[in-house]
Amino acid sequence: MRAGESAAGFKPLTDFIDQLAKVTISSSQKINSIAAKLSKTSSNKVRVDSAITHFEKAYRISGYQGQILCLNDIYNEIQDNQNQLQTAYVNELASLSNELEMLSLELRTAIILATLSRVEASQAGSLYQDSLINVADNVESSALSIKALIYESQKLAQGLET
Amino acid sequence: MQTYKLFENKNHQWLVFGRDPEKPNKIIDTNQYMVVTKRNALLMDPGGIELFATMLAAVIKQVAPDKLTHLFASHQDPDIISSLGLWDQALPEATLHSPWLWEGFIRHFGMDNITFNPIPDEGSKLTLDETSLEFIPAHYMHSSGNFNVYDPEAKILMSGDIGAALESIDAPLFVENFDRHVDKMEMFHKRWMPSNRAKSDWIDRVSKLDIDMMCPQHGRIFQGDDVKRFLDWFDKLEVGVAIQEKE
Repeated sequence: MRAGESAAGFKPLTDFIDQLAKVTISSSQKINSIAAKLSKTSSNKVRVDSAITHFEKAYRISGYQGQILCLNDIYNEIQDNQNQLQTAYVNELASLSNELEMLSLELRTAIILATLSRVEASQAGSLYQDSLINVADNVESSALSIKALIYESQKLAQGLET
Repeated sequence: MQTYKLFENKNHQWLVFGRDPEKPNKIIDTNQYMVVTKRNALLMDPGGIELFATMLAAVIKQVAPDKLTHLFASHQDPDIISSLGLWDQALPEATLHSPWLWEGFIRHFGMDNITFNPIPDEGSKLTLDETSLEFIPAHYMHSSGNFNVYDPEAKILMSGDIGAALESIDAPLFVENFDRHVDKMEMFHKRWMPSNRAKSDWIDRVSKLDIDMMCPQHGRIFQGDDVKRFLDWFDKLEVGVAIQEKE
């Protein structure tokens, strides 16, 4: 009877943990997808930046006159493309930083969860006490590990803002 | 980058670009060839990424960018085609003709805009206005998927790495003394060419072509009797020498 009451009392807690896990997984997938997109944009931008550098060298070699001026339309298109990629790069980077921040805030819930779990532990019988404390420790340490990774990622993302 | 005209008639001309004094020292010197017809041009083995700016400046002096409609890469090596990602920006409407075997590899150099035309193993033809060119199989010479370009009207064979020589940047464009030239070719062919069988097959087929000029991607151009001298010399040369024979 006692065990049943306690087990029923754990239900909101386990639901809470499930919900947090789902949010964390979904947010991580979104972060991965944004990072992959950003990486692709960045590769394309490097390629276009390189084309601009090589085109400028070709102009220099030709003394900015004569037949080389036939390339002006193409050069302008490449520059437009460079500008578009730069805008996309900035937007995708902002979106990545935003998503990292959201996940970081979401993980504050984990601390509440751990506290709740410890409260439950203090009220539960000896049968569940250890398990609940264990849950609290696991939730807290997982959240701290994830937060450390987020912090690392945020620092790396800040390094890309040039 | 120097530009020389190798051939001209009413329909088309052959140009060679090379002997680039601005080339970084440790990069092997390359010859780039271009066939120009009335409304089109084919640039063959356009070269490495380091060469792109000088090549672009030299090529544009000869043809407008919208006329440079075709590229050819005899095989997949970086000195042949690592500039592709940049040509892809400069010539979005162009077509690249290259061995089917290498498509998945060559695309690593970057090709979002240019169209890839896979050349089948048996070879194919390309018509540029009034001029017909043939992609002649040269597999395993040295790359496993490899082609030469033959122009029956100009009697020119662009032979890629076959006939290549390693020598100084200011070397003359044409072979002047075949016997003295052999030293500069020997190691290249013995080490880079893997198969005596493939070599004999290529010599059999190419000997039947009418060739005034044989144009390799490195070194000097063979003309007149030196073409036959090269084929005879090459026929006797043992290649694939890196394999250590067991006693």
